[in-house]
Amino acid sequence: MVEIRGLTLVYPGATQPSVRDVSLVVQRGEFLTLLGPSGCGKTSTLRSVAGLETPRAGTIAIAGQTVFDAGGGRMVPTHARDIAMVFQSYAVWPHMSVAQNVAFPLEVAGRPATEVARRVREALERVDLSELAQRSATALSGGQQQRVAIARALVRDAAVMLLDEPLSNLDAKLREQMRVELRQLLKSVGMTAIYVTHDQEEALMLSDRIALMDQGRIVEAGSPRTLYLSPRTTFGATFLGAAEVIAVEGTRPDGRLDTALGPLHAAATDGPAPARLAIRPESIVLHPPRGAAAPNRIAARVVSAVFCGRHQQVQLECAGGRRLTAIADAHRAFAAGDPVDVELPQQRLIPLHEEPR
Amino acid sequence: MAHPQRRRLLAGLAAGTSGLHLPTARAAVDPKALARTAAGKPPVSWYESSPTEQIDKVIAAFNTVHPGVRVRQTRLIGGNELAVRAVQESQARGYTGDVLTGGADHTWQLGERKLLEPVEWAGLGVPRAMTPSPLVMATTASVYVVLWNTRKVSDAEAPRTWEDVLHPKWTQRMGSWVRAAAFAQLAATIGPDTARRQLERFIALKPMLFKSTFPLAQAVGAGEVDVGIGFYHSTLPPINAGAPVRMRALDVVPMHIIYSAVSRGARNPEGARLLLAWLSTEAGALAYEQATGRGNPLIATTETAKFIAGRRVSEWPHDKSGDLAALNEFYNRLLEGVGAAR
Amino acid sequence: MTTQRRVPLLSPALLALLVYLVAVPLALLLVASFKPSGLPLDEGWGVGHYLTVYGDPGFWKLLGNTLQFAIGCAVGALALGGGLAWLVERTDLPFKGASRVMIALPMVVPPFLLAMGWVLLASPRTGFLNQIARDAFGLASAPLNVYSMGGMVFVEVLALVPSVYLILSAAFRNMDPALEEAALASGARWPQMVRRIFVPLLAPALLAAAAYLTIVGFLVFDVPGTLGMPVGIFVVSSRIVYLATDQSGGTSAYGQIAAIAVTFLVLLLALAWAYRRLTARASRFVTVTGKGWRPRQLALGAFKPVAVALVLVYFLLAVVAPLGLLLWTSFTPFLAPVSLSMVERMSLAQHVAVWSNPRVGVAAWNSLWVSVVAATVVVAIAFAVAWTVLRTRQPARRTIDVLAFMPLAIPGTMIGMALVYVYLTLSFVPVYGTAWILVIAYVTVYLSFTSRTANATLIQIHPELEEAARTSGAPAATTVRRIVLPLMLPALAGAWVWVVAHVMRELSTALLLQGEDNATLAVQLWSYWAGGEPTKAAAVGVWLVVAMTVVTVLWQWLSNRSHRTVHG
Repeated sequence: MVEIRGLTLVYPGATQPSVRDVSLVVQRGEFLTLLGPSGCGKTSTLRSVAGLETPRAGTIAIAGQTVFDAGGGRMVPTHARDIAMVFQSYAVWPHMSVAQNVAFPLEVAGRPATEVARRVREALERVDLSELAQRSATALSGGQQQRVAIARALVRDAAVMLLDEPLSNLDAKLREQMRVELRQLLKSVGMTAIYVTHDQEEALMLSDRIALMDQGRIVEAGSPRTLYLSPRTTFGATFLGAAEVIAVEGTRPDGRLDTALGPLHAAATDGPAPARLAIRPESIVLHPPRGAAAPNRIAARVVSAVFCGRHQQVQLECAGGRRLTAIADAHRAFAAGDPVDVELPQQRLIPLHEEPR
Repeated sequence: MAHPQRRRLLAGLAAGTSGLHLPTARAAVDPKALARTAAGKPPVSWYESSPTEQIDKVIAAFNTVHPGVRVRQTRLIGGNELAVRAVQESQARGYTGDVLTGGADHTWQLGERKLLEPVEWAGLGVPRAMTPSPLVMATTASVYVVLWNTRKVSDAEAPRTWEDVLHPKWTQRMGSWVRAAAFAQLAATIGPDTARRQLERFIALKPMLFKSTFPLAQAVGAGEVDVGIGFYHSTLPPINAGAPVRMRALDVVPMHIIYSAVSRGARNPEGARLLLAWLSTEAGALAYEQATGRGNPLIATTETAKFIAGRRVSEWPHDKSGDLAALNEFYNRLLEGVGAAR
Repeated sequence: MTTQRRVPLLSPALLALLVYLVAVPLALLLVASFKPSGLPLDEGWGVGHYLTVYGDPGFWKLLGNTLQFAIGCAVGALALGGGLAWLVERTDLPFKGASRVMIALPMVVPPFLLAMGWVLLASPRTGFLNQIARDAFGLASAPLNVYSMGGMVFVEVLALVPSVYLILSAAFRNMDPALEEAALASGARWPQMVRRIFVPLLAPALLAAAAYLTIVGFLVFDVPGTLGMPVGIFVVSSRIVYLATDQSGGTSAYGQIAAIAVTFLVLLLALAWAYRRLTARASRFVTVTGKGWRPRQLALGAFKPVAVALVLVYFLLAVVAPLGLLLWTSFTPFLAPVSLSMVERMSLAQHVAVWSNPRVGVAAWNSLWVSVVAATVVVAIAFAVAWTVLRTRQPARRTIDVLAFMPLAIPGTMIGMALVYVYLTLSFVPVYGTAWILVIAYVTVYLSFTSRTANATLIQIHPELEEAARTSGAPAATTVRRIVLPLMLPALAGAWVWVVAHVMRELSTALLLQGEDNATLAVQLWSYWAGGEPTKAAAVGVWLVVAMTVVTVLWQWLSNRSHRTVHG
């Protein structure tokens, strides 16, 4: 549905490009998230697809139609692109009512009044705002305004919906609720979506595929499960979810990998040994100290245990000084200074090779 | 004869006779022929700074004598701007207003720039005394007077001479135009040094300064100041409205004659000549004075002439306008120092 | 930040228009300053005028005086205008609609009538207030003297407050309460909030107002002329008027006027540069985000009567008192202090005379259509300028911005002079001597204020509101028509009314550009005044104010309606 090739964007007056040679394909009906830290270029990429920015190089095609081609000098203006967009600030027009906001794209397209009224009604029903149709847009709460923005984008029935951190201004509870609703909504209409966020949990929950971006480039892309459970780069491991990264110093003849935490068994791979190993905090198992040697077990001491509701976060100091953070069951009791045995299960150690350039 | 003396003689003649009449024509122009030609041309455009309602009446009176000749006034507020406009228009499009009426320095300036057309005044019947040059004709005048508020100053106390005016008892009770032009014109009779000394004494009275003599006269009527040096025609309005104001001419009467001229490239030169010729007659001058309050002091039957009858008049001649300018500048600067005096 | 936005043709057309309207008079002014005779079409070149003007120690003293006056006015008007704007827009002050009308009304009173009214009130010898004070308290001398620097500043501030109020109230109205709430939640008290939140956020509007006030303070004539000149307090504008009308030598000294005006051009360019630097990162000042903005109203509580009193006192001082005296004057046959004996002589004669004068009817019609046309045209141009400067990256936009701001520094006499030349030369444009030349002059003159207002307002609107329209399929024109203009409408309408009021009362340019039939009401008013009939002038002034009251009330009513739509 959306094909981006070789996109490079430089803002006027900037020394570095904001987007470097980004290439991406979004299938019809797919929910793709651009995920990364601030300044990684995800919003710039999105805005380029929308036509709100003019890249320096590359091509963009939407639903088979080339909307941007730097080489050929083609730049279709925003309003002529088959897109719909939801903004972080909602951008709900304060001088119009809810219904007028949602009706705007249809009116601009010259649809007859009866059709406009019907489609507005349907859109508002879908986002559950029917009773507020005549309310002034400013008299709504943040969540309601966001739904107006979504309804307005939906009503256009565009080829692709672009969403720029639409939930980041909502409080946590509302955000969680809206996430689920949003995905259901988009899937129910079969909408292709490109979603930008810096919130990994959101990315994981909503996306069919995630493209991880850093400093203008796509570092890794894949399904949430693949990216989370088997990242290939250190950035991927540490940005999406948390990870403890352990440098590999060498390989032993018995196949174990030498690390600062001692020799570790890792999953067998063909090809060269990984440069680093990563493990998710929730994969680290904490055992009472037994002293018995077992594979991938390390003696450690509890530094602190922070209760987080669903789990607790335990910070450990291993022999040798390295600190690790583990996620443990909330019901267990840990006190500072307690000795524990830390197990890094072999299947959960993720091999990380050199960063792809 | 020295110029000031000539003026005095004329004034005396005017007072003694019943006024200057149109001399019998020698190579006179036929007014009817002029009027026929003028009627066929565009309306005479008259650049004059009096209020439009007043000039409307003057034009109406003119049309009783020459009904076919149309006249339209363009009101330009100050003499300087009138002159500048005439220059701009002449430069840019080759013609300006047909009749230009302004002060001595304005008309002199326009003459220097060759923007005025010489006129056979005698042929039109205009008396020689009114035309110091073939370019200009005296039309009216701004005549200096002393005015006072009758509730604050009795007629006996009110000044009769310039010495009276400069008496310290008028300190902080005097009003004046912000320009010291009266003293510049006085210098024509008493000499620049004496005039300057008098101006300095005047400044010591800490007079209140006014943008023009009209609000000055109003202020005297309101009692804001007790006495003032203003103009005859600008003191008439409050008097006519019933304000407690009276005025008189002093022993020496400075004044500014207002001249009219026909411009080079005028579109209706015949109509222009007719208008000016009429203004030089008694009927024309009286009509003008009735409408604007300003009369021609060279025509004895006007109120203005009667007002200054027998007095010594003081004004620099038309061709000395360039020198007068420097004097004016100097005196104006002095007068501005009144702020420091306070 | 945005990359290129293509807005075909608008920028070059606008640039051409501004060059024609502004750069041409400017060029003529500069040329005049180098011509010995002061007239651009004469021969010769020289720097004589600069030497005459700047080599004269009297001029520097004059400048010092004027600086005092201008700064006093700027500070006073900002404080009072800002305070009133804040009261009306950000607190729960009752009677807001009425307050807006009361604060805006003084706009229509020609400043010299305002000054005249205050002379009648506070002149030491005949002032009404002084009479009362002397009688009531048995004082030997008058407590109030309006003929002073203080008096000048006081009256001019009263006259300038409506302009400041307009700029600042639009900015206040558009402020997102979340920004203040964040400050309050961080523990800031009100003075801190004002200093660290309000002032920086409102900086574009404040700076626009301050720049405008400073330049106006330097160039304004009527109030200092009426209140300062009588006691020998002279300012630069008095010098300019002198050079134009009373300079000896027969012609206006345009050369010197131009040389003086150059100082203000430089000053204005400096202010424009500062304004640009400050607002370069325009996103800092965005406050209208479409994210649920309803300006927070501060509860005045016990201060409510004090606040209402403040508005009423301003209205009293700026409108009621001087107009009352004006009204009085219009009923008397000649100018006189208030006294019982004069009361006997009151009559409607002046009003009758004014209404039965056919020229007054013509003048009123001229004033009406010239002001409406000029206001509409100039607001449209101001909007186009603000849009081009803030929403596009056209290379010429900085030039456009500066050009739009410059006319403020050009004295009215010079604009008039320049237009005379332009339209005498372009004789195929049949504008010379008609009222159309006035329209062009006023569009030029008032472009500065309106473009600043439009700029300060557009800065506050979040670009995402427009981007949302574009991503909804609306091309640029539709976006402007349905999103931007409605959001800017209150400020633009205010500017429109401001221009109408100022055109109706403007004098110096109208006088200079007089032809045969294009007199405006202000000219007619002045004609009565300068012709020795101040009482008729007062009558015309009274009716001017009545007409403007109607316009202002209408504006308020319309803007209340649109306000409700905007804020629910």
